[in-house]
Amino acid sequence: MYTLITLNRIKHSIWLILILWISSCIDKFNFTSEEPQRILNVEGFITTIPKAHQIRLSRVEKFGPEFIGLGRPINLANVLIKDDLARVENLVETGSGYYSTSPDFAAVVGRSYNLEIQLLDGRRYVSLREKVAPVPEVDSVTYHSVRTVTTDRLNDEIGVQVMAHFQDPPEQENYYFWNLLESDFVLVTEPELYHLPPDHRTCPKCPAPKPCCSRCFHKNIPKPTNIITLSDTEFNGIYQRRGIAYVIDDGLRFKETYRLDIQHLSVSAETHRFLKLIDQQLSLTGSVFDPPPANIRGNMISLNDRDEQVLGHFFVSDERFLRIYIQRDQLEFRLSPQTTVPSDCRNYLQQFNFPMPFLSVDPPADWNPGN
Amino acid sequence: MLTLGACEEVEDPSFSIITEEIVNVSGERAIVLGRLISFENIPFQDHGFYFSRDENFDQPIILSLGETSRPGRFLGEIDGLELGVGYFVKAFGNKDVEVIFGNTLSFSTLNPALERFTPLTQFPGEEISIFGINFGDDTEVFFDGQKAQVVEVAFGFQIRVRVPPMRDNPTVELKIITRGIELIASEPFNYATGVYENLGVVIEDFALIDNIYFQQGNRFFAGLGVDLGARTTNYIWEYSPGQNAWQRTAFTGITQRKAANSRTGYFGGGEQWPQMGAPILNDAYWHFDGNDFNSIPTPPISIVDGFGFMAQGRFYIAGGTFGIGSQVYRYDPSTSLWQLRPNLLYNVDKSMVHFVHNDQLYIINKDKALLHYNLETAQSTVISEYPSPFIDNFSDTGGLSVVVGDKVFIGLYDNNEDMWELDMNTLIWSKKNRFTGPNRGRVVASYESEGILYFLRIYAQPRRMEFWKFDPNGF
Repeated sequence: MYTLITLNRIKHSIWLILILWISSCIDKFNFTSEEPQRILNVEGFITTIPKAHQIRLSRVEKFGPEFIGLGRPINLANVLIKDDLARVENLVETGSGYYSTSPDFAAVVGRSYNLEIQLLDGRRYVSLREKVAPVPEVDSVTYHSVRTVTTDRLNDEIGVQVMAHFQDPPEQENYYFWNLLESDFVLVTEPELYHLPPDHRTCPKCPAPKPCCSRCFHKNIPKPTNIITLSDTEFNGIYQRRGIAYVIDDGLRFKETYRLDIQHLSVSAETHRFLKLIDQQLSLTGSVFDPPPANIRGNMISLNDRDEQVLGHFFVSDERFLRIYIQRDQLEFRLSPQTTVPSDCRNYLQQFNFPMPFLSVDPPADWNPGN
Repeated sequence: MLTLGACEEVEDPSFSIITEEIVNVSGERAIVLGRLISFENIPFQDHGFYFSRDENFDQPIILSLGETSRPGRFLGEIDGLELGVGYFVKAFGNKDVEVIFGNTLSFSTLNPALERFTPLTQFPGEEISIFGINFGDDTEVFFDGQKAQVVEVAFGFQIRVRVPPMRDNPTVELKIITRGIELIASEPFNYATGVYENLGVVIEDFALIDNIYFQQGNRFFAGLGVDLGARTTNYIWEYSPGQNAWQRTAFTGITQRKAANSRTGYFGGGEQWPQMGAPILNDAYWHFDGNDFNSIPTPPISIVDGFGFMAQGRFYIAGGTFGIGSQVYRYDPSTSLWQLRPNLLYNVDKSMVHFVHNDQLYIINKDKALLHYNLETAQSTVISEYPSPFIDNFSDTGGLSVVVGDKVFIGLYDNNEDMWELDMNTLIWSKKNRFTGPNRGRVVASYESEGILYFLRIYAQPRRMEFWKFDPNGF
């Protein structure tokens, strides 16, 4: 009897295992993750100031925690700028993926321009028409220091707010864009505080003041890199006292004089929209109040394949070049304590044992803080 | 009842077709942007644009872009439009045999125009580029009626054309015909001209080097220095166009090598090479007044291989390879005094081409930059660039520069055969015919008479000196 029960149990167990084995088969699900295509990326704009304007062509690559590839330049393309009178400016490749106009090329207010690109494989792209609107003259540029409360209770953020004073024309829609350029500043260091390195053979960390130099000239891209663009919808025709730039005090920039270079530009409504969306996306902090990530469409379109996505936006602006010398003694607030660099300022870029140029103690040829 | 009432009528999805923008228009080509607006994919058998000369689209040109279903933008590019006329355009979509149109936009095509061509002067068989707008692929180019080979019409704005052989006129009308429209350049095209002739008149048994030369009227002078065999010469020879020999003058000075000279009759400095021992400086300076060689005061500086020039009635000496190569001294014949002038901003020596035009000094440095030096303010400005290439330490020294009115003939650098004409009013360089003699030589003296250039050129292999004449306008 006991043996029969046992045999039945074994039979049931075999059936159970068999059923479980059959039912546990999993169909393979073929999944291919979406790889971004190496799509064309167009960067650049032209203005009404005669110079060699530059357009950059590259292939976009996946951007994320895993390093996938480089943003490779696109070489040997034909890049043309055409206006509405059918004048053509043929851009020459001056660097890998960089295409430049002739040095005396300038856009003209009132004219419309297209960028046309033909790649080596024959594919063609064209930008939508961009018309140059006049930009109002700036009467003056002023600046003042700003203290901003941060999440760090002990350390406020200190920066310099640059204001432009200008009359917005009432008779037309205006869209503004202020582009901050690489700027020069006086780098002040403290060579008298130099100490020998800790691994020095005879006297580690001993004071060894350097006789020179504490004042050099350095270049800097103003930070934070916000995109500052504005529509006159809410202030059409009203005289403006408008913040056009903000440069954060990192403890080095404002130890003496900072020369900020700004392009005061007019842009089209489409360009304003594009820049504003880019700024929104760059300002994402990861909070629940962030706008959703967006696919921002530029104005470049493929002539061969309407479904092909092209990144970037070609635009044309009327330009006024603004230059302001920000003097330390004119600032109400400054970051405290300021950054101390206990070394010869000429060697500032050498401190990481990487071959870099030496800074100059001579100012740039057009350095004129008296103006 | 409820079952019947609950039935929902299936409606066709709504959509719109918009003719959004005329993206770009040129002579015979237009790019137009349309947009299909819908909330879902809608199959269209065809879509594209209708173009027509009249607003009713009676005889449309249909640009078909084929099937589509995805909403969004679409571009159409049409070629072969008539030049300089108005067109209407509207986007269309063909759905279930029905053709749905968007709004109508209008545009005008543009006429071609010829703006400029470069270079203005060229050799037969070489290329020039013609720039303008709306050139068609059928473009033809004519030089005084002679059809030329069109190498390329690039993007409708640039024509590369090969210059046909010259007939009997070096200055010709340049004409193009594109899409049946004739366009004539505002400036004539010039063939490169210039005829060289070896006069066969030599300074007997001499091939000068480190010498001096100058000219007074139609009298050419050359001498001093050494010859290729290092034999020193104490002589200065004279030649006038039409003569069949160089005549020795009555110069009585001590041999000077590497002396500076103006091209008007002042010379001196340098060094003298005794038969034994090292060279010694020679600070003797001379002026030829048309009859005699007169000694002038010694300057307070020793200059070797310096260059000399005459401006504003004064004799200048500058630079050189001995001492400070940027010092300038000026001799004033009215006071017989030497005066120190501001230093040049760079070193100069006799191997650099320089000339004086309208009492202003011009120098071509070894980076090919043409510098204008203001003698009063001592300011130097780069105003142009010598167009031919230089080869370091091979063809970047020597050369000639001869001023004829507002034109300067520059070229024949060492071991080189290029010759250029520089218009001092426009700073435009024009090619002249290349030197037809052996190119591995060095010009040691140059002159001008009645618009014709004369120059002495020496050769190392075989050792000799030739006397050449150059008619810049000959062909």
